[in-house]
Amino acid sequence: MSTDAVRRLRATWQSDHKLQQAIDVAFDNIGFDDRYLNECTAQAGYADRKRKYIKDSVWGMVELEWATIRLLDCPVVQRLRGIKQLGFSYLTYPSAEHSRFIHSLGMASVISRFLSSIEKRSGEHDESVIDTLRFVGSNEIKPVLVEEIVHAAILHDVGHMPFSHASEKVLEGLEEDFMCGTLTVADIRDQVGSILQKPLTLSEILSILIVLSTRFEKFYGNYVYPAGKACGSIA
Amino acid sequence: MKPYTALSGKAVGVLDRQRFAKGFVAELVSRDLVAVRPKSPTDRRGFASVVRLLDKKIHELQEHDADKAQVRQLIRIVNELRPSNTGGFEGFEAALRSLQLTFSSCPNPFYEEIAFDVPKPYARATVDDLPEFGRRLVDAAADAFIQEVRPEGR
Repeated sequence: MSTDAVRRLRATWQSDHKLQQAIDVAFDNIGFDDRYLNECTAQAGYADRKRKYIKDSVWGMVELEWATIRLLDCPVVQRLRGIKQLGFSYLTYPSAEHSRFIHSLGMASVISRFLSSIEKRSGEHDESVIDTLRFVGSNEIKPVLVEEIVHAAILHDVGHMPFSHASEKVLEGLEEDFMCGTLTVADIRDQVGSILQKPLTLSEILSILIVLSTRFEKFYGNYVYPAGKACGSIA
Repeated sequence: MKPYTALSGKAVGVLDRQRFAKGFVAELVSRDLVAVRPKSPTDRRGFASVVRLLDKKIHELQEHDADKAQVRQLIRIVNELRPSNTGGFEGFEAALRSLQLTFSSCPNPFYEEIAFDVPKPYARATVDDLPEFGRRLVDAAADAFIQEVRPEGR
């Protein structure tokens, strides 16, 4: 998936005012409204920049830096606390109760571990494989910053609907009947399929739609990570 | 209610990944190519040429304001057949392996070769079961593949 393609998709969606309005209405319903954004922006300059540790039952202590905490606290991510990771499986397997929120947190932990492993090996040579093979550091993975990769892990499932893939299948099965702004689910899938050239599921498409929305971009750029360039580099 | 085809049981006019894969295999069989090796560089070039052909077809259809449903079907098929981020044609391979029991044998992913154990008459009937544009498409796709894997008509 090239940055250019994502940029084209962003331009297409952001120029569709009715689509952006529909997304804003959905954001308003979960409390991610203009008032919330204004309050966040007002705090941006003097908010606490301490790290936090969250205990995860699978990954142990997950260390989070301040920008990630800001992201985790926003209603778009907090909504995932109410989304079951495994659809209706909990009815058969009572312990399959965990949410998309804890899954995203685990994902952030795994990605952080990957990145720190990459960092540790950067500069090393493995002559046993190929003479010229050299491990690169995460600072050489351009144009994205390490923090932004962790944020992407946190955000990767924000488009999930109740009961995750179970409800997704329903909407995909009736794709001409469900609308997102002025577009049907079928239209939006085609748009993404033809621009990004990937067979994405509806929840993946909605996650991209949320992250590329004007309101979310404003929130991320003004409050979560003003020093970053994820949304900026797409722009 | 839409009419359904005898062989696939799917609505007439619908071309999805499975029907495309079946038609593609049937066309390969009719050209005496009865197995592929998805990991071999030659066959990967063949898959790449099929993906290029489908992209070109989509582009042509979009330029001529063709039927939206037809374009949609093609976009979805080609996106599933595209190489992954690692460069492998896992989607294409999965499409062929998923035809096991009827069209392909050796579904075990550790077997390098996917064999197409299909009698020619059945292959012909499968192609006939496709909508007109699907027939033309699988024919062109098989030609593109063969041209890469057997450039001298071997």
